[in-house]
Amino acid sequence: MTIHLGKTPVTLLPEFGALLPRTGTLVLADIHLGKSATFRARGLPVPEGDTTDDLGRIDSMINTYEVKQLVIAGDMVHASDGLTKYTLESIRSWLESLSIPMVLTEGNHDRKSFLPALKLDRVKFISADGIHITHEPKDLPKETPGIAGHLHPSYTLKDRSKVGIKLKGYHLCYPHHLVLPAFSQFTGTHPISPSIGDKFFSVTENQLHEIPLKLV
Amino acid sequence: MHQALTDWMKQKKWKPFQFQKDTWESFRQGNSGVLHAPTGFGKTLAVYLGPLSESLEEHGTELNDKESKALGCQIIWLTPLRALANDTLNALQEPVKDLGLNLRVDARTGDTSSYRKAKLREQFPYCLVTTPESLSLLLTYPDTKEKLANVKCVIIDEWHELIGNKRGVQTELVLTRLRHWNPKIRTWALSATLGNIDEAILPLKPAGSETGFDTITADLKKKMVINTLIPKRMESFPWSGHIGTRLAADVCKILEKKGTTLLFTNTRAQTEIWYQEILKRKPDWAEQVAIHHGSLSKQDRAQVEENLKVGNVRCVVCTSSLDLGIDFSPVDQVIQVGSPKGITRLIQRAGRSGHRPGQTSRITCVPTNALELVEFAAARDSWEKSEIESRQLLEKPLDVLVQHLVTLVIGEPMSAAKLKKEILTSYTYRNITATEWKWAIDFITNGGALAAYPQYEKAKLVMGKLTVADKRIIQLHRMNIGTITSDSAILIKYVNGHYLGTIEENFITKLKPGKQFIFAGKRLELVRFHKLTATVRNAKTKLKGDVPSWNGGRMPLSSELAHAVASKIHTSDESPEMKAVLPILSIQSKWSVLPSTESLLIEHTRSREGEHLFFYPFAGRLVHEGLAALVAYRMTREMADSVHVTQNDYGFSLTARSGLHLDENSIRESLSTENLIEDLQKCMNTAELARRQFREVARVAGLIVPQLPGRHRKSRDLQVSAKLLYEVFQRYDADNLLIKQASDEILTRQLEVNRLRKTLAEIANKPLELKETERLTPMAFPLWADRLSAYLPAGDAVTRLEKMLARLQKESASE
Repeated sequence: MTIHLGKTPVTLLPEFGALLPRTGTLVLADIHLGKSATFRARGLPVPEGDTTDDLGRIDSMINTYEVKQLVIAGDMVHASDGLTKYTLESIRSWLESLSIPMVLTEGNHDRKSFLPALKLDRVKFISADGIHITHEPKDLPKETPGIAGHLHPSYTLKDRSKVGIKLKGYHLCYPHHLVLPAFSQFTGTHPISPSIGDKFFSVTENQLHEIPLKLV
Repeated sequence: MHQALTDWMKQKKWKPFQFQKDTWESFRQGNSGVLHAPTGFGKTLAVYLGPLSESLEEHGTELNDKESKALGCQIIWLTPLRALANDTLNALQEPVKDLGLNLRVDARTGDTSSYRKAKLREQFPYCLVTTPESLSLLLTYPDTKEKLANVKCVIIDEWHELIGNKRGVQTELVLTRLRHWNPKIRTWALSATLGNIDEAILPLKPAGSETGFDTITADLKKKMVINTLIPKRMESFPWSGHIGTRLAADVCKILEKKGTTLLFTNTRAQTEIWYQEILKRKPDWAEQVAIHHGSLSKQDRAQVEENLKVGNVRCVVCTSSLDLGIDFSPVDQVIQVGSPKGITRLIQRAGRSGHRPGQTSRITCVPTNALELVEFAAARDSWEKSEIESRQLLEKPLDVLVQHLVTLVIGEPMSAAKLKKEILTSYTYRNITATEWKWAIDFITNGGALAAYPQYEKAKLVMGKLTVADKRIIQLHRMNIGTITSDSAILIKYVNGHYLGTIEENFITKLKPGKQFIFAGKRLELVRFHKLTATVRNAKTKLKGDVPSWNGGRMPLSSELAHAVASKIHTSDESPEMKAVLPILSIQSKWSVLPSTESLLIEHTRSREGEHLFFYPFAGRLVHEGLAALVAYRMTREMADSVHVTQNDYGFSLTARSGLHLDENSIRESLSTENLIEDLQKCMNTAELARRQFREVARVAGLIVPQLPGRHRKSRDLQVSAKLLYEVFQRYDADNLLIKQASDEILTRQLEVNRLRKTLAEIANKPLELKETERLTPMAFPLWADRLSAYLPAGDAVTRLEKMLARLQKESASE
């Protein structure tokens, strides 16, 4: 599904990432690599699999959508405890195998936990095809179209039964700011409080839908 | 009995009952045991004076400070309720104080300040009053073994509250450890009578004990008067519903008559409603009516309890928070609003009044719908016939085991083989398999052999012994000890910081600032909600305000009582309840027949909504929930239409546009026990249910770090929902036994699959009574009225979502 932020077309992907088709830029947010490792490091036996899985999913997106540049809009890693030998090695070998340039706009989790060992370039924000990309939505300039992460947006749909269905998805804040869903599958979400003009997009069975929002 | 204690009792003019003498003698002979006696006959002294007397005989009554210290801790008193600790403490201190004995009796619970806790650990008191969680926590300190070396007796109060749940298992494991240290330790449990008492005591007399075991039953029956407030105009009394305050005026009249009344309701929300209702009718009682439930702040509850004790309160509106043993002698009568839900429960509540030997307990039952009249009459019958509820034991829960194993190795490094030997002596884990044991050890050491757990290590092997070295892990574990899970609670505070209590997150998030709600009997206005704290002020104007709902509000009727109701309905007698409900029952027999235990009544009727089938197995709400889904699934496998189901304690209903018939063959088929588990798993969305149950399992096993308001900011990186955890395990370690445990718990506890199977087997041998009815009968009406909360049993989230989206799109297109 393609929407427009300002005049820039942006394709929302069912894998939870945004593609700027004119420049081939893939934007992902909140990957939280090494989250299960954080748990293990603190004595909670949570199995490994998330880090490898998430990195693999990025690779396959790069192939599928012929991505030319990767932007991670913050929170690439989860916590310093989670940057165990295993996590660091996974990330390092992934970075080495990466065939396209990657930029990280630093998120709060990255700031707290990045080890110099990873030698990654980190910036506050980056512009691509007229879109301002940064981690926290509050840092987006009002007048410029932008993409951010940080909030892990979700929206709960309700029918007559008492239990609603919580959907993770893209929150378009009127007029031109897009908040991306968290890319990590092992991370929680936060309910949005939509304002007039906002839109919400989610995925069922690999299909993107616009979800009609009820204003509270 | 030591002379000093005999004299003390004489002085108090107490003549010991036979059961007390029997207990003292049995203890003297070195036995462990269990004691059943009604409340108010001196159970406490029966189990306490034995060990106390023994100490006096061994060491005399004139101990100096040094000798007293040397005694160490000799008695441990375990109470399931923190709230009971203080009252127990007072009761246990009484003889010690009166006789001027130089012995310390002290309490350690979750409420004790950390300063006091540290002091207590330095020098344990002679008698320690504590909770299972708190005692378990003590096991994590290496010096506890030495400090508890002199314990001769552990008393477990209110054992019936612990049996059949994970706290009971935790208690059992802690006792196993104490016995491992000293096999001669005597344990005495106090228990209300249970339907399956022989089974319920098995965890108390395990293989590891070297003492004999005695069961002592006080041959005393409390005098009990159970009567019911009969509605004057029965014809306008509702057939169903459960919050009605219709009889509030009559209740106020009863309150006028007697000094102090406890008014029990079944949910916290109902206490708020009744409190408001009483004050509306009697505004001048504002100072004399109080409210008490589990979500109020500790201080407010303590204040109410204090007022009750001194007797300067007319009525306390409360929930089960006041069910248990606190001795409120001044309570003159008890009122039960709504279904008692269980026989034991009703009797326990009645026992709150007339709490002295020889006095009569009185309870007045206030129905909120017509059929509850039958419940009251049936409960009274069952009580007279001593037919009361059973508690099923738990089947070796692995989450409790792994928590306990970590507790043990933190306190004392130990080889896996020795640990296993110890655990095998407990009753609950007596037949743990090699696979289960290996999994449990893996879980605390390397995560497991099959899935990847790189860099994980909770306990490590040092010189052949398991031990935990990481201070952070020890700290996190200590914080996590316990088996009680509660929803993340939101604190309610006034703007000035005064703390009022807790409320559930999903209620408060629906409110906007400025909106009003009722809490602790007060009309409050939400100022803001931020970081697990809702700030409120007293509302100045009166707007419409909601009463919050708390989870776990709806308790099912016990199967024993449901069964008693089924027979009672059929054998109408001269009791006022049955006389009052007779007109309604005769409508039922005129339009259909009365349901009975001899056959299974099934009614079929049509309405504007389509066709309805009503089944009345009288097996209790939980079983009906499973049955309803099962029958709906089996009947509609070939049907295009969706079926809505509802259930209550008496039966369940199916509703569909068309296609539901009173056809004996197809009904028999849908009630068969064949493929039961497979079909249940298909129709109940057990995966979804298991995911919810996983929350408790993961919490107990130490996978979820509880989020406590205002504390533990350090563990923020470890916040994760049980749902996400469940998905991670499903994906990367699907064979994990905790996942299996969650599914098993859903089947056995939520769906009560054993009872469900038994019910189906019984039905198979009963004739079916098939009735075509013109209208909804009195039995059918409540099930029909519940249709708004009906759910579609089949269908997964995706299908539901597609439907919702289609509907929303249709709606928006027509606008």
